[in-house]
Amino acid sequence: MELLEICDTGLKEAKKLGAEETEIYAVSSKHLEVNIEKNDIQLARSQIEDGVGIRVFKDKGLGFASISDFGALKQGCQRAVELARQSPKDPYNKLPEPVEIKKVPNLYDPKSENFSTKLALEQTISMLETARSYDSRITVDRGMFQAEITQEAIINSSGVQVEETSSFFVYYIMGMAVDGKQVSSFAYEFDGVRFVDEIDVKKCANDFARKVIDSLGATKGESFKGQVILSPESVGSLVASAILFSVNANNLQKGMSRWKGKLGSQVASTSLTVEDNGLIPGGLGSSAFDREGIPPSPLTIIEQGKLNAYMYNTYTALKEKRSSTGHAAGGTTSVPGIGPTNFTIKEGKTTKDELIKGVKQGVLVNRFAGFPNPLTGEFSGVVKGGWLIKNGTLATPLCETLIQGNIYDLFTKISAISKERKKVLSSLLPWILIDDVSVTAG
Amino acid sequence: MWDLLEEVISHAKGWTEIRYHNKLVNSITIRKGELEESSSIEKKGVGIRVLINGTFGFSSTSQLKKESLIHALNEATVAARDASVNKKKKVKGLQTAELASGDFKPEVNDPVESHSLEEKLSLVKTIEEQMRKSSPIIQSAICIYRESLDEKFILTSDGARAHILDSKPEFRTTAVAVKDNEMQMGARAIGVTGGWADLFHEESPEELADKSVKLAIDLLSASYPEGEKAWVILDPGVVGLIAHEAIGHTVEADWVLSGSIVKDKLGQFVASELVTHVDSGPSQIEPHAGGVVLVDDEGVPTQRTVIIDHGVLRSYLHNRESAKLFGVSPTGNARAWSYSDEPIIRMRNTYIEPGTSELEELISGVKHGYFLKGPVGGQADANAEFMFGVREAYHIENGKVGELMRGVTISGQAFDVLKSCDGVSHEFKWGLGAGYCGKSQRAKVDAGGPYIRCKAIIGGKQKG
Repeated sequence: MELLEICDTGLKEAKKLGAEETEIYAVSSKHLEVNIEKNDIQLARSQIEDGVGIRVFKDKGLGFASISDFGALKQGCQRAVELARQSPKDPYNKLPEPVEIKKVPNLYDPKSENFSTKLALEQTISMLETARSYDSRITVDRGMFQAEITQEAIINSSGVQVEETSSFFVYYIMGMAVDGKQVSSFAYEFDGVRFVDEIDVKKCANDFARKVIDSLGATKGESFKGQVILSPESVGSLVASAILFSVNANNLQKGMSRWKGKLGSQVASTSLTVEDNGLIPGGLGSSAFDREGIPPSPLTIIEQGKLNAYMYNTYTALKEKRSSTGHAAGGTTSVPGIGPTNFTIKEGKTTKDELIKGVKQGVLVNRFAGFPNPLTGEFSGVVKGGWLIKNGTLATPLCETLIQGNIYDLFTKISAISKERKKVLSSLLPWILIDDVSVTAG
Repeated sequence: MWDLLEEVISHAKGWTEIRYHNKLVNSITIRKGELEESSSIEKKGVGIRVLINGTFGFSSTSQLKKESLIHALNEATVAARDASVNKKKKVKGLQTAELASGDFKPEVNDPVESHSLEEKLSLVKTIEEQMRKSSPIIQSAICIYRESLDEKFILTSDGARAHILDSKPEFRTTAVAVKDNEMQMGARAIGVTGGWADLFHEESPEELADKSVKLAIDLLSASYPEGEKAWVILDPGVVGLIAHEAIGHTVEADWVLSGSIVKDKLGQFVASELVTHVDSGPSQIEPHAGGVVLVDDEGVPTQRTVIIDHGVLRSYLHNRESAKLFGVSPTGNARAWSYSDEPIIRMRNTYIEPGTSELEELISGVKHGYFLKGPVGGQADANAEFMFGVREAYHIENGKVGELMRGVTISGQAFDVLKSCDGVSHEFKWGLGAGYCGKSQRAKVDAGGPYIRCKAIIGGKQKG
C-alpha cells in the first residue's frame, strides 16, 4: 500500500472511532549500514522500518499513538482516541489548514535505489584505510557508513496532504592516536550528503586523522579568564543549542526562555547574524514541509545581534493568533515539537588564522564536552582536542582543561567571527572568538 | 510467536539469533498547566543476526509476516557474506554458555498497568501544579511520567529460548525559578525496574516536587565556585556516574580491544584498596535498580560481575564474542535497545560497594573542598578522562558543609580519582534509575554506591 493510502485509511478509522480532528504521519525507510570497530569491519546491516504517528483531538483533548507495523493501524487509532477522550480540553488543539507547498530540489538521488551493501562496504573501507594510512599511531575505535531512503506522507482532516522522498548518506569516524603510553584525546569527524556523487569519506578520514595526531602530547594548560575560539563543532553545541532553545515558541510561552519579549532587542554583539532556511536545495535539513505539512518559512533569527524571529508550530502560533513558521519537528513517535531546518551563522570578516593571531593568551576549543544548560545559559565542561594559544600562535595541545561561563552573557562578548565556515550536518557554522571565558587547568 | 520464529530459524544457514522485541512506551508530560504529551508509542519488530565466515550480518524489519522475516534473514546472510570478504580479523566464534530458556520477569510490586490513565494524568497534573503554586518566583514547571513495558522472545540456533517481560517506570519533576532577570532550574528524576509501588518507594511525588522547587530557588542566590583541584565528597548518584561513565566504559571489552586505558591491566592495582566496583544484571544491595536485565540480548543469563576487587582490576564486561577471545565466560552484557539494534556490550547496574566510614566523619576530615550531589550528565574518554555536571555543590570549610554553589562540573582521570579515594561510607543508594546511556544506541541503566571522599578538578569561575 502507498503511504498516502495508509494515511487515508488511518484518517477514516480515527473518524469512525470518534476523533474530531486527525493527523496521520507515515514514514517508510530502507537503510544499509556498515560499522567499523577496532580498525576493522564489524558488521554490515540492513533495515526496513515503517512508522505511523497518529495525532487526534476529541473535545479539544489530545491523544497521540505511534505504531511500527502498518498492520496495527486500527489499534493505534483506538489508543490515540482513547487517550484523547481522557485528556483535558485545550482550545489551541487544532490542526493546520493546507498551505501551498513547492518541491525542494535535490533531496533525492535516484542512484541511491541501487546503492548496495557492497558499495557501502567499499566506502567504509576507503574511510578506514585513509585514516590508518595517514599515521600508523591512529586507532579507529568506531566508524559507520549509512545509506538511507525515506518516504514520508502526512494527511490531516483539514485537508493537508503532502508526500516526499529523500535520500541521505551519513558517515563518521572516531578514535584516538596511541604513541607508547601516550593516548590522545578522543576525536571524531562526520559528514552527511544527499547524493552518491557527493560522498567524500577520504576528506572525513583525513580531517579526523589530523585532529587526533595533533592532539598527541597534550599538557595541562593554565587557569585564567580570557579569550577562547570556538570551532564550528563547539559553536554547534554551545551557541546554536542556546539560540534554538530560546527562540522556540513553546519555551517562550512556557516561561523558559530568557528572550521573551526581546524581539528587536540587542541580544548579541553586532557581528552575529543567524538564519534558518528549510528550503535550500539539497540541504540536509531541507524539506518541502514540516512535521505538520506546512512549508518552512526562511527566518533571520538574529540580525547583527538583534533578535528578529521566533520559531513556531501550529499550536504555539495559534496561541499568539499568528501563523506557523513551518518549524514543527519530530518523527512518528512524538507529538510535533519545534526545531530548526538548516541553521546557519553568517560568516565574519576575519580569517580563522587572523583570529588566532589576535589572541595573546587563550584557548582554541575544537570540541566541547559538557552539558550547557540552555535555560540558564550556564555551561561548564571539558575542552577536547583543544590548544593553548600564546602570542597569536597555537602553542600546545591541551588536556584536562575546563571552560565555564554563561552563554547569554557571552553572546555580547563575541569579538570576531571567521570568514571560513564548516558544514556540521544541517548547520553551517564559523569559528567564533569570545572574550571573558573562565579557563581552569587541571 | 515461538512457532513463527522457529519456522524462520529453520531456514538459517549457520549461527543465527532471532529476537522479537515489542517496546511500548506510555508518557504523560504537563508543562506550565498544559498537557504537552499523552502518548502511547509501540515499536515492535524482529532483528536477525547471523554469523557466516567469521562475520556478523544483521537485518531488522517492522513487517512481521513470515515472508518479511525470511527476507530479513536472507538480507542478514548477504550482508555477512559480503562483509566477510573485507573483514580482516574474523570472529573466532562465540563462547559457549548455559543459555537461557524459559520465562523471565523482574519483581514487580503493584504493576503500572493496574493504574488507570486517569490516575496517572491526575498525578502528573497535581504535582506540576504543586510546584508552580508553591512560590511566586516559580515561573514554570514540568512533570513527566513515563513507563516502558517490554516483551522479548530470543531464539538462537545454539539453544537460547527466552521469553522476557520487563517494566521500567520513571517520574520527573522540574521547577524553573525567576528573579531579577535571573533564571534557575531544579530537577529530580527517579526510575526503577518494577511497579508503581517500587517507583515511589523511596520518595513520594510530592517530595520530589518540593525538592525541585527548593533547589531552583536556592540556586538563584548561589555563587560560582572557583575552578580548582580539591577534595570532594561524592554522593551515591555522583559515585554511580563515575562507576558507570568514567570507569565502566573503559572496561567494556570492545573498548578494551580498541586500546582503552585498562588494556593489559588485569590483576593490577587501578584504584584505592577501599574501592570494589561491580556491574550487575540483577539488582544488588537495594532492590529495583533501574537497569535490571535478567537475560541479555544474546540469551545469556546475567550475573554480578566484579570489575575491581579492593583496588585490583579483575574483569572486563563481555558479550559472547569477546568472552571467547579472552577465554572467559560471557558476563551477560550484550544488550540491544530495540529490535532494530544489534546487541553490543553495555552496562546494567554499575556501582561501588559500600565501606565502613560514617558520612559525617568523611565531611569533618575536609579542610577545604566540596560536597557534590546529584549527577546531571557525563562523558568520558577511553583514557578515562571524564567530565560530569553536578546538580548541587556545597562548599566544605573546616569540616563543615556550607553554602550552595551553581554551575559545577567535575573532571579528572577516573582511575587517579579512585586512587585518591580515602574514605567510603556504609550507606548505599541507586542514583541513576532515570538515566539512559548512549553508545550508538540507548540503554536503560542504573548506577549508585556509597558516599566517597576523593580528589577531583572542579570547573569554576576564574577571577579576572
